[in-house]
Amino acid sequence: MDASINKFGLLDDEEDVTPPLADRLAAFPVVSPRPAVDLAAVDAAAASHGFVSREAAPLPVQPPARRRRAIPSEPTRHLAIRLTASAYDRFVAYADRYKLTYHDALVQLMDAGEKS
Amino acid sequence: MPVIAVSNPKGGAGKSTTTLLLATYLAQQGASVSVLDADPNQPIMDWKKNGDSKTSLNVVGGVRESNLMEILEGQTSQFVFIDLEGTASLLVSRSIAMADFVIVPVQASAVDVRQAGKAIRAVRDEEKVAQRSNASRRIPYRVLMTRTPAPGAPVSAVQRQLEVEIEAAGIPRFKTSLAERMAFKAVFVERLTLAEMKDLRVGNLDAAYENVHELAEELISLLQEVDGDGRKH
Repeated sequence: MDASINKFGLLDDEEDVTPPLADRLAAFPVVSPRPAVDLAAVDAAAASHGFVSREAAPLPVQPPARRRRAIPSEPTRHLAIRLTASAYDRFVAYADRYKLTYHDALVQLMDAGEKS
Repeated sequence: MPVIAVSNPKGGAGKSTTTLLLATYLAQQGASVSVLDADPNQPIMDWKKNGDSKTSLNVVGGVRESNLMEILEGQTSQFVFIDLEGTASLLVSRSIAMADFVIVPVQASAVDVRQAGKAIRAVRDEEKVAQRSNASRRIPYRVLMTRTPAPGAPVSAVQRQLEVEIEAAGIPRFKTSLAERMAFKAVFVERLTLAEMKDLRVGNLDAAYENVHELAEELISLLQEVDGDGRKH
């Protein structure tokens, strides 16, 4: 209060009882560790109000799909081939890369070999 | 002491604005403050990372359901704000469950208020869950009216009705509201704090600053009451 208004002492001087904000802030300690919680109970309580997980689980890694071969128009024969492990891996990787059946991969490689 | 969650499942209610204004203000007053940016759009992380503000505010981005607890464990600031996404997710409800205080910003619109009701019900239920293991545990909250007309400007009938309904429902709210101000929008555009924008012409900066000061004073008083209640138990 302005001293000139209160010069006869009729009123008590008003005191600002609230300390400055900076002083009040200084009294706050750092964040305390959170209490242990039962997450299942926490999630269940919120679920009834529509709180659900919005984070999709990662999709399982699927092996690359190989294209199914159309039914052949001529009789078929079975071919069993013994390969070295490296040649086997190379052949399977080639078929996977171009999404070919082993039959189609073999035909494609033969076609390419004959052209060159 | 306090972890403060800022939550309303409705987007655009003013969560990030409220968080940033309060957090930067408290930091400017000398407090150590962190913001956990749990909004997928990372507005406060963007503000900090791509701006030139000299604020001491610490911002932690990339908060998810799976790492929330771990990130909270690592906090050493006096004040930790969690700016939550505008949706009803487990990240939001878990943050509420971990908070010492929840701010629910609300605009004077029916959609905002209905979604705020969802947050308030979640706060109350999470408090009950927490009390199973600690009977004295409280999760106090306050509704904060945002984007209200500046003092002197006409108040809409919708807002008056909302204020009456909040009062009638016994929902506690801040006496201070956050007005619609150019300066508050400019904080995100310029990526500076209110105090750092003093040389820019962005509306009535003094009034904006006073508004945030009043809100911060009220928040600190409420937190001191909460702290006092906690010690009594």
